Amino acid sequence: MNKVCKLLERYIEGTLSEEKEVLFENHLKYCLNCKREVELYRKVEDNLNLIPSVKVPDVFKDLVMERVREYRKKLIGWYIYGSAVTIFLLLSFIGIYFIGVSKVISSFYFLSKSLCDFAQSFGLAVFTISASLYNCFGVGRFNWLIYLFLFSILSFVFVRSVKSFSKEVR
Amino acid sequence: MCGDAKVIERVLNGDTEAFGILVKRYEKQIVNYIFRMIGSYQDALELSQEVFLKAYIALGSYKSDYSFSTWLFRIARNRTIDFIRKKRPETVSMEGKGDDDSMKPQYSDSGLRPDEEFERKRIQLAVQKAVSMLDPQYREVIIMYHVDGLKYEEISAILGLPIGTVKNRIFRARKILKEMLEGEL
Repeated sequence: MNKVCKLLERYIEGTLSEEKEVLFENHLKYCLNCKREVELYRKVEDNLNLIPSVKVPDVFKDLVMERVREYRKKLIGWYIYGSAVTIFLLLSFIGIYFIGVSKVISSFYFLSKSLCDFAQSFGLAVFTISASLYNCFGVGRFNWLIYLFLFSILSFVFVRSVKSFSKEVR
Repeated sequence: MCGDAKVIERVLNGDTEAFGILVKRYEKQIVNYIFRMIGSYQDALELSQEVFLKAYIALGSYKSDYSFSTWLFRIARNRTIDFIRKKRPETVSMEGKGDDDSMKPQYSDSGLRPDEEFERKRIQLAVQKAVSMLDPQYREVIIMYHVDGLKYEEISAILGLPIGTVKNRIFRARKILKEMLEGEL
């Protein structure tokens, strides 16, 4: 490799001065190695320019616009929710202002107390029902009779509902 | 045909359907860029739709310091890089995945003789494969410059790099490709 060969990369990049470019082009006439390199670079560049473009489906725009419309619908939905929440908060503040803070706090206290009482009663009811069911369906002599009875009721209900549904459909 | 700025103004004034003009105008460039970057046609279509939706959502923040295409390409680039990062271990294929023809890219007919067509295809496949094996930072400049036909200035604005660096990166990429394709060309 001589001094001129080192100009190859800058020649390809097109950053050589006019004088050096002429020098390198003359050099190409007898340096087969550099000539081959330049040809390779040119071939790579030509083939890169020939990389085919892929076709975009005709429906592409419609698909994008559908997404855009969906987004707008969602956005409008959020605006409505946001406005509803804002109005609710505003009304609450106005209500508190007129009723008075201490009255609102005591109302909240009574409300939460009633909710607690309700939860307690509900828990107790669930516990009582489960205990009774456990006693009924526990180990016993005539359990199969109870199961058969329940199964018959369920089948009856199922058949009736299918019949009424098919009537509705017709 | 009205310019991008006018269409954007219409969209921002509430004419949502006008956004379709921008989609139609840039769909080819964006789909091609993403497809060549990730290698899957189906994923490229999906990502491109996301890119356009993102552009629509952020349209209010678009400033005319850069052209709309540059801004759109920036969105596409960020989304593509995210996608590549998440899917890192998978090898990129340039012909798309799946058996379904609709999932594969369609190209236009070249009009060459069969033997010429065969040779052209062989070299083209080798070139495309080599491009797909490039490091993403080199791949993206090659795709932007050679496939999407963007100018150095545009690429520089999209990547936020000086023009000199872009030119240098393209040259390095071609050098790597030349080394990879030495026996094929």
